[in-house]
Amino acid sequence: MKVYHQMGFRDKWNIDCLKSGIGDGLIFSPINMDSDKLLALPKSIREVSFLDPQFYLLNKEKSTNITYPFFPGNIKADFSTADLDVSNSKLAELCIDYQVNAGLEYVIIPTRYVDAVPTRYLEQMAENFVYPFLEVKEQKNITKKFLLTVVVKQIMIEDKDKLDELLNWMTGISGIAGFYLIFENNFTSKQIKNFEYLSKVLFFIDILKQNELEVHIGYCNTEALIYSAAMPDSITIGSYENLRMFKITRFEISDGKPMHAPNARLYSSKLLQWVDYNYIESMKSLIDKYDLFFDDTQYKPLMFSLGEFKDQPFSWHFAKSEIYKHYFEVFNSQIKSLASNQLERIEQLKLIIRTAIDNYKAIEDSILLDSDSDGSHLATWYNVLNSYKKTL
Amino acid sequence: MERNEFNIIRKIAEGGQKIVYFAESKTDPSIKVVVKDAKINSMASLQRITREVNFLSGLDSHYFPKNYGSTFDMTTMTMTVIEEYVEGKTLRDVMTNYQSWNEIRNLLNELINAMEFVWENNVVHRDLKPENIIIRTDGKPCIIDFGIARFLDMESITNTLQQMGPCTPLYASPEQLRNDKTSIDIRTDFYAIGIIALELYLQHHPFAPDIVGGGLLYDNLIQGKYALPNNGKPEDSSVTSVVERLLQVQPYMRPRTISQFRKLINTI
Repeated sequence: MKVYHQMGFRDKWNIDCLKSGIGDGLIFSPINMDSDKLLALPKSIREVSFLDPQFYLLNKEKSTNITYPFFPGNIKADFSTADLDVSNSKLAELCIDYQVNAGLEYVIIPTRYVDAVPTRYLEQMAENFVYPFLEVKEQKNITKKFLLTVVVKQIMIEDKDKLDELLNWMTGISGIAGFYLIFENNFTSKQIKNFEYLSKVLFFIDILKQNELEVHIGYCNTEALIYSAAMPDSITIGSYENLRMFKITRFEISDGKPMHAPNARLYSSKLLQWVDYNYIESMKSLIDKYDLFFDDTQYKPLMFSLGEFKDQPFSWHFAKSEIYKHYFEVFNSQIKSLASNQLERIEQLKLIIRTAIDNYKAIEDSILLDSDSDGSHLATWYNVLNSYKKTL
Repeated sequence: MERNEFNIIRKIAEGGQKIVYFAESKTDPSIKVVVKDAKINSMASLQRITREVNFLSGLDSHYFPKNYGSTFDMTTMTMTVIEEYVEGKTLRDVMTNYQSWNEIRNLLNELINAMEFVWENNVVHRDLKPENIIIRTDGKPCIIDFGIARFLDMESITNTLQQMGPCTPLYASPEQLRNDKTSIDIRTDFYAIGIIALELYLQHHPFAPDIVGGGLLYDNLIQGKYALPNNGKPEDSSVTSVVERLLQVQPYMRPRTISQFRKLINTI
């Protein structure tokens, strides 16, 4: 299973890590990286990466997306939904040409974002994107694999009729190798704790794999470990939370209100959680060898004031690259250590979860954690894996 | 070829707004054809039908009757299609020749060979059934009713399903019965072939209430209830493995591609 970097702000962190062997490729973001910069990257990086065209809000100009020739506003100012009927072939050709000429690993067919799903949503996606892109593919005899972007809304997972409709539509499309999936949900907790939702997502991935389609899941957080049980082809690692949880607000122009700076958190593979730094500081003073609950990387001594950094307190801040490079290294390693046999992988994940639960018991003898830093998601995850295993 | 080049010998079939005749060439009676007259409901239907007839008329395969041309009479809104008359018997008439899994599998492979080019072009037959499959004298199948009449049969099937009329579609998939057009694709034909395969093995329609239970065949079709063992014929694990995949209610649980379909029936 591959690990792609979900690119965003601070893309240098991702590129540096990829160059040092962490991750398998990049998913480029037009709203964060201009076209010239992408094309100037080494071929060796571009050929293991792909681009999300980000047509979610169609013509909404944001930052650097206008530097791409396929940005709808470059075809016609005030490009609107009505223009899609007339210009979908032109858009498809520009978008495909760019991705092919850039030497990327896949050609990605974009999608529109919708808030409430209209009745003819799938038909419109087919007419506006799938058919025009596949027509160009055939006309130009392009052999590169195509992936279709699908934003899977929470209702499409939870409602059986919508789930069946979506799966039938997706598996009925010929000419594509698979999908670039984005699971969108409205859960307020930082980790997903809903048994039904996670179980149905595993079913969803499983059906696509049974249909011999590639499944690449974007905007993943720690639940990528659970998704891995259904054997997708790739998951993502992202620095900030907005790259590990899909929200359409990321593509909207900010209204100028000051943004709340997030508390720095650190990922631990032994806890399967991003722990707020305030709790790490508490653990430091209350738990002997507290650092053993966190992974060893080249960045750990600095963050935990160990060894040569013993007298240098670390200033936990979301702008510190060490926190996120640490996560890239740890999570990538965790994913790469998973068994390639599905049943073995599930048992391995269950053991990892049990170990994490035991670790939390040890911590909570001294420190109480809030529900966004604790292991309250782990029991559900364990049960989801057992439930999924029974279906195999 | 034009209609007036032929002598109508007899009526073969009539149903809905379609009449099918057996005819012979006036100049060479050895040339035997089928002449189909069918009423078109609307210009929209005509455009759709014309596109597909044009596609099908380009098919050059012994698996389909040769198409000798079509004409449309606007005054009577009647389309006439002239096709090769295929010598042979319908699969319905020779069902007893296909009772073992080997015999059934060989036929399925031939049906896939027949439909492959059509499916690759995303054309769905939608009405595969034993009556539409002629077994030629050389044993190869020929799929008839792929011309204009199919489309009107399609419309009548759709209308029947909408009105739940007297004509029960015995080989319709659940998505056809629900009139769920977005889910109708080549897997719909796979489902029909699954019913045919099981009917050949059981020598009885597998969804019939007298062997499955339930009140109506239609209800059994829509619920996906069918029989495997029947009256002294034991369950065959190969047949079961194949039909269980083909007769899944959800298309996403059936084979997705032609090659997956072939692999299913040839590697069991």
